[in-house]
Amino acid sequence: MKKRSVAVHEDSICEDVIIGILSRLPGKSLFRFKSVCKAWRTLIDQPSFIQKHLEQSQRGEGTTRPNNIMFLDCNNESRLYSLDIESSSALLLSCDEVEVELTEKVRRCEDIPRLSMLPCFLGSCNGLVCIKASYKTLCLFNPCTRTYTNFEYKHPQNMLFSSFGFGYDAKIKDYKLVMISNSTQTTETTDSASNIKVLTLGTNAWRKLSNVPYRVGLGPGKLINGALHWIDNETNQVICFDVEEEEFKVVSRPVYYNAAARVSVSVEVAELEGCLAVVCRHRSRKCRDVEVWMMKEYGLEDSWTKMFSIDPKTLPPLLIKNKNTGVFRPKCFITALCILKNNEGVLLLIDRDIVLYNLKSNTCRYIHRVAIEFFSIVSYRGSLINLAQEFAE
Amino acid sequence: MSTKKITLLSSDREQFIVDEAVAIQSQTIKNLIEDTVPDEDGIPLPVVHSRILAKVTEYLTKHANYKPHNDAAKEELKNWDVKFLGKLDNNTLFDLILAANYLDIKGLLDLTCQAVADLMKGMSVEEVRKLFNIENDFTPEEEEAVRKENQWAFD
Repeated sequence: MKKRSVAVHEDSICEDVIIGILSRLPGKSLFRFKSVCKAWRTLIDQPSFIQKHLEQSQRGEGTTRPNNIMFLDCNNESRLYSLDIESSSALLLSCDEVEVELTEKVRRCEDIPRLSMLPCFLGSCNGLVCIKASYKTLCLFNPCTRTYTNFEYKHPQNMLFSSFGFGYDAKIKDYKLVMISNSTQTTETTDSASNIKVLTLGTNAWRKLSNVPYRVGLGPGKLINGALHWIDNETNQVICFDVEEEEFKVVSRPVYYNAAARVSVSVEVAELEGCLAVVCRHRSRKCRDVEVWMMKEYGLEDSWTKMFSIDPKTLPPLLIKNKNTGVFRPKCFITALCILKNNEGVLLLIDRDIVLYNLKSNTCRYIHRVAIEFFSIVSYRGSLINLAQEFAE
Repeated sequence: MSTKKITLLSSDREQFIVDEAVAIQSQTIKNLIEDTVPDEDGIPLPVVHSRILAKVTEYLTKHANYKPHNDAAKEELKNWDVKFLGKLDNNTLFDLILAANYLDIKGLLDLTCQAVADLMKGMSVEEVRKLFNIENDFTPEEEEAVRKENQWAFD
């Protein structure tokens, strides 16, 4: 039974409440507010506060901070760019205002680690972005604290054509990198099974797990509810890997289409406000619609909700004209990046264009064209983890 | 469903009569009901002024009638919360945080803390000091050093 000590002076705010308020702020504001007073500077640097801030950012119910988006230019000296949705206070803006705000916000990060050729994102977790920096080096980078740390690792075979996921195992308090490689080129098996390897950063050794009968796309797995999610390309099922238990399973999926009609679709998995989401693109002659679905309560099949569907004919950004035939066809890649304030809109990435879909008016428009030809993309929630200290030994 | 009434007594001894189901959303009130012999006038809440208790009971009454099973109801309640917050000035907002903390009402504490955080997000250091009534205890040199360390956050 807890007995709370009651403040004598009504207007004195106890530290609990200050922590409650500050832990809800984005990292950038907090770094600024370190200069408010000595007590705040001490508080914001405390490991217990950093942990509290991390937990707060992972909670659902609309109080989560938005995902920031980071691009890695894979060609041009491997530069990193971030779309800083957090500090642009996009969540506080209406759809009309967000366009101007965000256009200004794609900027180069200054304090980046030096990367070698063909780097790519392997995932993100706890505000840390995991980058394959070279064949020997993994880089963990926290864009919010601008700290990073490099890991030397043994480069496994098949790495170039493998899918990855990056997550945190709270039980052993360590980060894990999962690699899924299609094994058909190897002699181990002839079916469509994939090899699974797990690297625990603390031990820095790859472990082999049992093969799984899935083939997943190349993008990093999406971390939701302690599990990494991909789409199995052959069945369009959502599959997940529990980071602690190290087990794969199939997650129920929404009804993408009328079960009677055999329609071809391509599916991307996404994370929206901490929820599992899928972006489904129909590819039949009759139907080219793009649908965005969200699983409002994780693991509950009935909670799959269709947020919206777009007929690409009515939305020019979704189409691309074939130079030879003059025929319009849908663009290749589409995924959902984040939801804006009060469910007003969803930011989508369509090939290289960031597009805002307005849920109220069912219209969409360009926000920004990513001026990078060949890029890797990852989203993260800003955390205060200082990598220079965290992994210092 | 029980319609037992509970009388709450503010610091300025104003009575607020609410359903028990409304009142016990506050863990502190729930404990007081269980643990103490009630005062003749009601349950005394010596740190909550009637001006604030009125707001608290308004919030609790709305949220007690909320059944969290469909999206439309969730949406309606969210909109109600936004309106509820919109009517508060900054002083009332802070008083409400203190009351929610003392009365141990998690939902109201989350809501009001988030509201203050949203308010602060774009503020300058000086504005935050003013909002919280905090005195700057850095020497100019120290403050300059802290700022320099975190220069990028000021861009």
